[in-house]
Amino acid sequence: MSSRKLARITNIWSKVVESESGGLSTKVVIEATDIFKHVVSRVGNDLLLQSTGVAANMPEGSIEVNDGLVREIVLEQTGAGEAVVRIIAEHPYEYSIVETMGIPARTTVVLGRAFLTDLMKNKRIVIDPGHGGKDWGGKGPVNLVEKNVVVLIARILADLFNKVEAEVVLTRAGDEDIPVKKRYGLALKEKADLFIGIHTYSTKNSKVSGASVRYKSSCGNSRAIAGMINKELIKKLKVKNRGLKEYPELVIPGNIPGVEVEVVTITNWVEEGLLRSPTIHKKAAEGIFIGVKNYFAADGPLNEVVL
Amino acid sequence: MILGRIPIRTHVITEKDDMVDIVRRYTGKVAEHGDIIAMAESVVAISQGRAILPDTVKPGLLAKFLCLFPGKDGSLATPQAMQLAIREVGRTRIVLGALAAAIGRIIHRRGDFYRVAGRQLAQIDDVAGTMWPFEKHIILGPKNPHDLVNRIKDATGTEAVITDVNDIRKVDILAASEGVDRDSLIKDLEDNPFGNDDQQTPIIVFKMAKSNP
Repeated sequence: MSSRKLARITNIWSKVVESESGGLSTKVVIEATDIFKHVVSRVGNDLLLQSTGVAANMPEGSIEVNDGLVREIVLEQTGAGEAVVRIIAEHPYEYSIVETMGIPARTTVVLGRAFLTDLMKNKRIVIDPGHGGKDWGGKGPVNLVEKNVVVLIARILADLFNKVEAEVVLTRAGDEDIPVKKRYGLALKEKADLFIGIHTYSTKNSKVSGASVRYKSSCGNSRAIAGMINKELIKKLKVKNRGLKEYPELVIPGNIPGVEVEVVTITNWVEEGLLRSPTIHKKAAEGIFIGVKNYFAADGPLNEVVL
Repeated sequence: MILGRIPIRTHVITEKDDMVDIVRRYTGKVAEHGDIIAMAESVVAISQGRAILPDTVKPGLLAKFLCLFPGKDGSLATPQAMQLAIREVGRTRIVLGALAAAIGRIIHRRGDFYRVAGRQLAQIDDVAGTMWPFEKHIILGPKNPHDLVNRIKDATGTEAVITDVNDIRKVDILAASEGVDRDSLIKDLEDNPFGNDDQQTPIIVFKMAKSNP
């Protein structure tokens, strides 16, 4: 086959989208100079598109996705005019494929995210953007203030949970100074499954940087959740890992697990710069969301692979 | 007339890459004579070694003082970024620019700092949290953009542009080879086809209608 006739894969990207009916999907789009033939197969939760009449114009290898359903997408040129696109997923899903002629031609794989909704539906989560009002929290070397940034991240996080039908209560939506006891008490009042505080770290040493997660010391699950959030947060933000810390002052009543996430260090010049970026707010929220989702997924039988 | 646009994913471009080689390698079998190749200015700058880690910059007193005045969400609000601006155009032009900005503030006129100190300083992007692995870098504007678009046209036969596009529909064309209709291209760049996250599509091929098919 002449290489001039091969469809050339120029880009692969993915996005979480909402359908008109309100259901969520991950859309994986393979862009090429032409439509190409493919055969679809499933191996566990992975979806393979074995394609012919095609050449990789973009680099082969892995594209990190980490959206809670799709972990990564791998492109491999397996022979002359043959390539495999492997969508590596963490949970079961239903899928459909749509081909669209155009410049570029698009092969779109739509993966339903119903598993995540089934998993998170009716979970009650209290999100506490730290500080507020007269209590500014930390302050960056230029001008950012912790109380303002954490609200932005908390709102995105609340939206992510709302989309999978979890019940979210924010301790504050505006610039209010709410006593700590009242914030923690809200978790009990709401019969929450989890309390998540959103903070940034502050220190006099402006060279210190990174993210960490503090956890309620009297509740065994809190450390596990903190670990899962920490892992996903570092994956998303690619900042230094300051690890997990037991936090005796996090006195949420009862057996409700609780964590406080220090997304980055606001007193560091560079990380204050990161905190100005809406992309970083979104990534921080996604990291926390995926960590929490992993905790609930590990807790029940729902995670069995459906073949 | 623009028929469509093809975002081109590349490997992570670093200072070890040459943009002419990159364009040849990734667009050779996609773009044809008459098409336009658009490149993101930040990636061109990265290929020229103009992405700089703030920790490697030691700000002087002048930078520490002047960075107190620009808007805090702008790109020259940190001493490190201001020091790099001084390195780009020299202390004299920066001080003259600052004086012009001070007068401009009194008479309610904006943009005098860049008019006097140099428009290339407006291309400096402070830490932006995007474009891994350069998300913690300050990225200067590209050097000699006109030279680069002409070299690409010579090497590939396609038209070339270097653009600065952001998510608020603001499009600047920093340099374009002779055959490019800038106005029609700006309209097709307004929705930022490069993406601002980590999509690694620093090149867009604009497929153009051919007059002699």
